[in-house]
Amino acid sequence: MSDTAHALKRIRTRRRLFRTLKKWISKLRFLLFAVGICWLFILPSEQYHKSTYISENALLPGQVNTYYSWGQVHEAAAFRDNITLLSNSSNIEKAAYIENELRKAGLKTAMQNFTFNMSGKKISGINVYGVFKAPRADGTEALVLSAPWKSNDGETINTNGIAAALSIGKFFKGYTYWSKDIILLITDGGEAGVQAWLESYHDHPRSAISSTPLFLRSGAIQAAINLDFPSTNDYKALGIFFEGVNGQLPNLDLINTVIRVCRSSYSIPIMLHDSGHHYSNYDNGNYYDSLHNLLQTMRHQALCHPTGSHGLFFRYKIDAITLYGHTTAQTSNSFSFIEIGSIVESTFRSLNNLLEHLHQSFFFYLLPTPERYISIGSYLPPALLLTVGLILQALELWGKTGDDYAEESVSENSQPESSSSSKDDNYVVPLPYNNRQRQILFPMTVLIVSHFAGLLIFFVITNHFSYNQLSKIFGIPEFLFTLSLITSISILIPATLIQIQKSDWMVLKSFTLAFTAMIMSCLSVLNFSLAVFSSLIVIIPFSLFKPTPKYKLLQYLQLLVLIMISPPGILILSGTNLEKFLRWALMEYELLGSYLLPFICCFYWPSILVYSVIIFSDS
Amino acid sequence: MSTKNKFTGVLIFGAAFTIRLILFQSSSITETLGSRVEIVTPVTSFTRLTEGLYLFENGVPPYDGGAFHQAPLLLAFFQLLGYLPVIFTKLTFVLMDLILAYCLMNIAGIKQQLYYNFPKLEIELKDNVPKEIDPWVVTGFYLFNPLTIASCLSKSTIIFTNLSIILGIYYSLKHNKSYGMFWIAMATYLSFYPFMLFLPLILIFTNNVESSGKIIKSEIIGCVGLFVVWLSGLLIFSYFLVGSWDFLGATYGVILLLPDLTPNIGLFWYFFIEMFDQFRSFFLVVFQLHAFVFMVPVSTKFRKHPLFSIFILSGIMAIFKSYPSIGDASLYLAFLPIYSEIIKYMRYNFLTTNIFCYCSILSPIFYHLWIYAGSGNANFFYAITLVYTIGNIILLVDATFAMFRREFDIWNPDLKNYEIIQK
Amino acid sequence: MTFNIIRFLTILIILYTIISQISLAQDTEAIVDGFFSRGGHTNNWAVLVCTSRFWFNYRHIANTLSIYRTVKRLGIPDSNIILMLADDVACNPRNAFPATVFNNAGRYLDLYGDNVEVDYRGYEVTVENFIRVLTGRVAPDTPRSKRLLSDDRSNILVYMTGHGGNEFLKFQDAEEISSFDLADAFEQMWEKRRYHEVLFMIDTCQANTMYSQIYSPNILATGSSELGENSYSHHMDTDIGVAVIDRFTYYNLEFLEKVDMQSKATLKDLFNSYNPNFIHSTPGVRSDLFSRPLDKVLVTDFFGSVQNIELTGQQYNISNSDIVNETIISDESNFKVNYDFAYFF
Repeated sequence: MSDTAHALKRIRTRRRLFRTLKKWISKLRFLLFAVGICWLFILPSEQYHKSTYISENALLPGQVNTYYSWGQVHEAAAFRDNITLLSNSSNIEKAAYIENELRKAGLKTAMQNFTFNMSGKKISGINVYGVFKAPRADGTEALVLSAPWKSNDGETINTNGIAAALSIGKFFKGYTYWSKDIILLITDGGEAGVQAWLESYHDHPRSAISSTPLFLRSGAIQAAINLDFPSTNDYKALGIFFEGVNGQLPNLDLINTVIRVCRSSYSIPIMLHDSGHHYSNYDNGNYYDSLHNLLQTMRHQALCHPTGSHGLFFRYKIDAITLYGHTTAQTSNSFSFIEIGSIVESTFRSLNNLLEHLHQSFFFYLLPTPERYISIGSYLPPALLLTVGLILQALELWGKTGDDYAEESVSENSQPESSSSSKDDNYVVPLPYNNRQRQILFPMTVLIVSHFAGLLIFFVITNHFSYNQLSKIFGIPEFLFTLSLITSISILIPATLIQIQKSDWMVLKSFTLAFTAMIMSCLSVLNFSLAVFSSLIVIIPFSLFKPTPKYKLLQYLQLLVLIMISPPGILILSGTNLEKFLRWALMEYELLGSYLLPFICCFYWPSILVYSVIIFSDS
Repeated sequence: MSTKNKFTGVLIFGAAFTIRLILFQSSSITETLGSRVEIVTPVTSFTRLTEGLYLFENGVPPYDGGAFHQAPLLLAFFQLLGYLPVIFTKLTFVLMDLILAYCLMNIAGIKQQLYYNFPKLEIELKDNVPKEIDPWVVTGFYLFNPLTIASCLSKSTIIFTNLSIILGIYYSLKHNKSYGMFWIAMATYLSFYPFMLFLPLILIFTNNVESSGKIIKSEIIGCVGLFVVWLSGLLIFSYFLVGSWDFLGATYGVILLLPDLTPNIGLFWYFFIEMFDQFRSFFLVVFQLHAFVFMVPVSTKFRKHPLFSIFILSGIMAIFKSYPSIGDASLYLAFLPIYSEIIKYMRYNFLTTNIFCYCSILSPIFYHLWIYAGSGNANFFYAITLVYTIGNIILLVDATFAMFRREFDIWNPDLKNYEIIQK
Repeated sequence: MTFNIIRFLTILIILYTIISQISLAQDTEAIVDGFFSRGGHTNNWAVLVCTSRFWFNYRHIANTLSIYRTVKRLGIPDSNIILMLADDVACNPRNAFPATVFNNAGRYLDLYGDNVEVDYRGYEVTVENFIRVLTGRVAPDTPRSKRLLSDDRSNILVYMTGHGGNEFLKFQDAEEISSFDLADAFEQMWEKRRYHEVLFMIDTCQANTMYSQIYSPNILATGSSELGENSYSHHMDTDIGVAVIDRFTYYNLEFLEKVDMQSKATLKDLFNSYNPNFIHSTPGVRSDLFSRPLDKVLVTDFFGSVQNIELTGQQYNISNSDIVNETIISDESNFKVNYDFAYFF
């Protein structure tokens, strides 16, 4: 008896649950969306994030006396003057000067020539580097101190950066406490130089750079500090650049170490990138500054672009950051060689303590201020909430296309079960099976064709030959529009050929939503910012848009919005030069392996193309 | 066979053949796939086969050095293939897939004949003739399954096992005891686990006893005898081929004792990396028994549907074997459309499809984060293998449920509009 | 007759002399014995263990070496000290002062300066080896320097430092010893009559939990911190770049530095000197298993040494080789008592 009662109870609970869920599911997803957005805006608030801490016990940052002093500063000043004199010389002369200085300091030195050709543009240069073999260690590990010739802006010469690096390298040579070799690397030709050097060092070519092989090597590189102190002035604030290719970040411990070192002995204001908000000790900043910092980081990440030479090291499992000298910040402090040298010395002493790769602390984080962080567990949920809304809608649509139990009516014969459940008034018991044939030929065709079109666009863009040829005749924007037009038409043709049933657009929309949700949630693990930005753009149109055969105007309005959020639309709206952007994106893809371009072409754009089919696929 | 059918056949096989051959031309694709841990395992890797072959041809015992764990017959086969141009190796893998698909089509056809007189649901009949899935669809599902294509392109030798299993089923359904037992012995010989399918295959023969007027006992004895003879024949032949019994330890020993802990999509590797040595043997026994423990209950429960129990058991094999790969999954998924009548009862299709999609995207991503980017760790990848396993289990449980529920509805047509719950 | 009488008298005198000598000897023996081994022990041993590897755990090695230096100063010879150091920071390339270990900022005292005998080093420091040393169940080919050759008259100081938690102490980076393992090891020692009394001293996080399971008699235990408390380092040297000593050990040493071999300071004085405000954690003492009142137990009963001494009236025949041994040992042990003595081996 009680078993039957229990079973009845189970059935009723289940029914109630399903009914509530069905009733609320459409409202729930809007709620999820709203919560997700609000949550994102809570991220910068001070209550939400936590203070950073050193997770790796071995680091012990800022606990050593530093001995970089005026003697070294005078040397650095001499280097600075020489480099200033060299500023108009050729690559070869510059490289020779650096190599000579490194050799004088007692380091083993070598040079590396490299060239990189990309769609008619040629980048070439000479990297110089010196290796200081640690006198009492086995030479299986190394640290890199690098300085590029050109500063972040691509124009100013990194005079003080190189001068500091040279003097520090020479200074390091005087001590015996190194457990890792130290590599002093002066790179040429911007990112291409760093990439060339890293590829050769690891004997692992990724891009089309041709370079001379490296014969002078050391051990596995554990970490790298990149110095970017442009021109010859004193500096007002220390900028920390940490975003790498494809939004990869260094281990948080590395950033923490540098900041702790700065805090331990100097009152240098610290700035994240070039955001303009500088922080001194124990400064938690305000909400808007934090928001600005977060947005900047997220923008860098979403563009998949490294914010300095350090960003290329991540590819080889090397944690790295760039220290940058800001000259324009509104601070009363100013600092120069002595502080730079001491910070680098102390940081290297800490890194010298490492026993293995930095691995203790976070790799996935956001920094609202230099000393506060938001970990992945705190920032991922809002992004996932956004996609969960999409999945729910997909599920709802999928269910709708399969509902057909209403045709069967409740049987009359009064079994005890049915009579007792009579207060579940007019509850229609669903069939145990689903006999509705969902037509998946049309949706699958549209999905496959559109993604193939995306692949085609990508192929055409990356293929140098056709790119160059076509751009001569058409110009890139026209060419791209033609291309997208062709693909849209190629989608619409099968759409008109295949007999569309009434609910086909629902299945297609369900598939597209599920697919978009999948791409976004998977992407959020790789590159949170790119996932958030792209889902913010598409989520409202994607969940609202549907065919409205009765209101033609609305239909065309939807199309207009879709065009606006398509990649060319966004670029035009944001006033970006299409050709410049394409060249940049292509360069990023080919040289650095950024996946922004493939993502846009193969995932983002096709889903918008699919939607342009959906809004017109009324029966 | 009607002309329409012929045309469909040519279209499907032609397309499958062309796709595979085109993709085989890109060495970067085959190399990438051939090194993915989800697709090739230490016991099916073509790279390792090449290594073993090289040793074998140079007179070094191929099982020395612990890199090669595949059956000696494969060595002989690929040595023979080595005399032909390279393209034939690729062609072999493509053809294997096509033969397998062709057998699947025949199996689907035989299954539909077998079930022709079984009672059906009302809605499954149209003018008193059962609506059946076109066997070509079964073929298409197998041939265009991305898992099948990826596994084929990776040149994973799991295809030999899969083909042997399918041939064993095919000949058994044709009541050719000798061939049926030979092929299942071959599958067992190649990767051990297909031994699980031996029981349902016997059931295929014993189910047939009444109509053909044979005695059950002699059927069983005949099957067991043939299986033992074929298996020992294969083992002895292998012994003469490589000249020692080392291959037993290097193949079945590796499958059973798991000395190679290369990550894969299974459950073993992570567990046994973490395992303290003193517990290792105990848990090895537990894990391996767990895979085999389903053999008897599943076969007896579905004794009237031996093909269905083969479906479930090969699914279990694909989840719980020591070195599973997506090639195993592609085999058992091929059986699902054969039992197309249960699909309408399955409740979690959307979920399982999504899980498969998520896994196929996230597993390379997490592997990348773990191995290359260094920002993740082994837990990331293992989490995905767990999700993949759960997806497979949900699919199997759902299929089993659907089978039971359909049976129930057939025998109780008047209870269609009631909610049935199991206590 | 007279001859007989003289003989008789002589015998009588001799007898008297002998008897009086014997009774005198017995008295002196009692006095001497009482003086040296008030606790009833006749020899002292020390097992000093640092369980941490790695450069940033410099202070643990310094802790252990500091205690090593103290017990040697107070008279326990190297032959009676088992020193286990899990790492060799002196030769670490990161050490700015190669071949030295200091326990103080300013580097006044080099603990690694002269004559340090490390018995178990590096990866030899394992839970297994530690328990084998305590229980004496070592492999037959283990050298004497690696054995704890104590007996039922031995007072043993067991000092441990490293990283610990609730009822465990981490060894190296791979394994740990639990408080139950430790308690069972002590029980086995007791059953095998391997000690007379034990002072167990541990400096680690949540150290007091480590002695909570001990159940064998005559064990006195002290630890640096309670359950849930961390033990902290005392200070660092900014040239070495790491912390050089832990607080608990530091304040122990501060007390022990004032103790010399003749000192009458008791363990009660030592324990009373612990100030939780200075140590930054709550040190604990467990004396319920210990039979003697703490104010009667000299610090030197555990940190210092008595030799097994017996006063004799006659000369022993000592072969040349024995003399050589003797000289070496007495050199090492800084023994300065003005009584005749001989070693028993």
